[in-house]
Amino acid sequence: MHLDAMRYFLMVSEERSISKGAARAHISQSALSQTIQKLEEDLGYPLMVRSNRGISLTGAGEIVRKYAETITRGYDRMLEELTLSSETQHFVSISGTYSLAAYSLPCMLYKIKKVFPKYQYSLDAKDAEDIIRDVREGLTDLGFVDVVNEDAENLVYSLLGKERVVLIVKADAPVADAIAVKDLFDVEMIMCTMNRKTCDHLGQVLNTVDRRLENLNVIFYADSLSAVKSSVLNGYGMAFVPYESIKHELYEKLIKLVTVADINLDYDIYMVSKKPKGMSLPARMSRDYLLEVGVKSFC
Amino acid sequence: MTLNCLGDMCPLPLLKADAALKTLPEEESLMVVTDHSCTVESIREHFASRRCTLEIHEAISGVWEITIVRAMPE
Repeated sequence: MHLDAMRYFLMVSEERSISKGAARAHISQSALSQTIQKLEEDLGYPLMVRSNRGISLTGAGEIVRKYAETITRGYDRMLEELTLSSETQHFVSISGTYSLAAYSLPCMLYKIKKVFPKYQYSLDAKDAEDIIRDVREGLTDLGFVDVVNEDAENLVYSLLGKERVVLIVKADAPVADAIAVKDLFDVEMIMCTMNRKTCDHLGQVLNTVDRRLENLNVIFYADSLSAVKSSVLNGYGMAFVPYESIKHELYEKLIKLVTVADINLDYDIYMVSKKPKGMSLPARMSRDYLLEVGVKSFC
Repeated sequence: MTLNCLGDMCPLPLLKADAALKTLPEEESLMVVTDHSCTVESIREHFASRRCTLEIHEAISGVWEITIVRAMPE
């Protein structure tokens, strides 16, 4: 079975269309259809249902999609490491949640590179669950996450510190610097779907005072911190965001912080890795250094 | 002169500061504003051996104003 067949299958399943999948794969529709058909024959299961409304996956198709993603990602990572190994034997891959990778970890990379100049580091952003999965599968050496997955055997979670979460509003908005929990229900809010941890935590805090997250006046959900910040800067509402992501705007006095009595949404940051004996020397040395310096190495 | 390096990752602020100091009159100081902790370290390290005095002020949590003053020639 050819790896390309899995890649084509993934493209078609993402696009829900043979024609769009073919355009993405830069091959003809008939060649793509034949490849998928061959994949179905090899595996012995129908993977897709073709209808006028496009392509949908069968139960077997969903299983193949899950494993095809891991297989193709593992293969790509292998090629990446092979390329790097011809230049250096000291490659360490690091992943962080979106806000950590964008705002907190770049300084850490700069500092650790100075301590271990011969090591080659890479940093990418993913969901916490994907990071934990990749660490477990050996695709990532060190992960920075805001959750602990108790099911993950053979992984080590080390508490590094806290991520501060603040409520922001446009600087000239007629909102007091300090408000009560009940006041949150009178203002318009923008929620960041990427920052699910904050939403969950806010829901739990509101539950303790007999309030519900669903009753907040959320005018819209945005999928990135940049979109949330831009909305707040345009005066569309208030938002809970990691402090690290808004330092620039706060210093420029474009936004202000609003404290909410009895609410603290700060969350723990963990470094996750395999157990030390299962790690490469560069990854282990880097991990030990980061355990020593903790969040002081962050931006 | 103020050099706004908010959002710039290392070593960009250091390169910008070095370039700015080359064109700045001797008697003028340069203030670098950064939100990256590594910039504070790299600028401190870089200018320590260059006859400069540094004043570092954390304006708000996580944002630093680094004022670089060059020593006047004797």
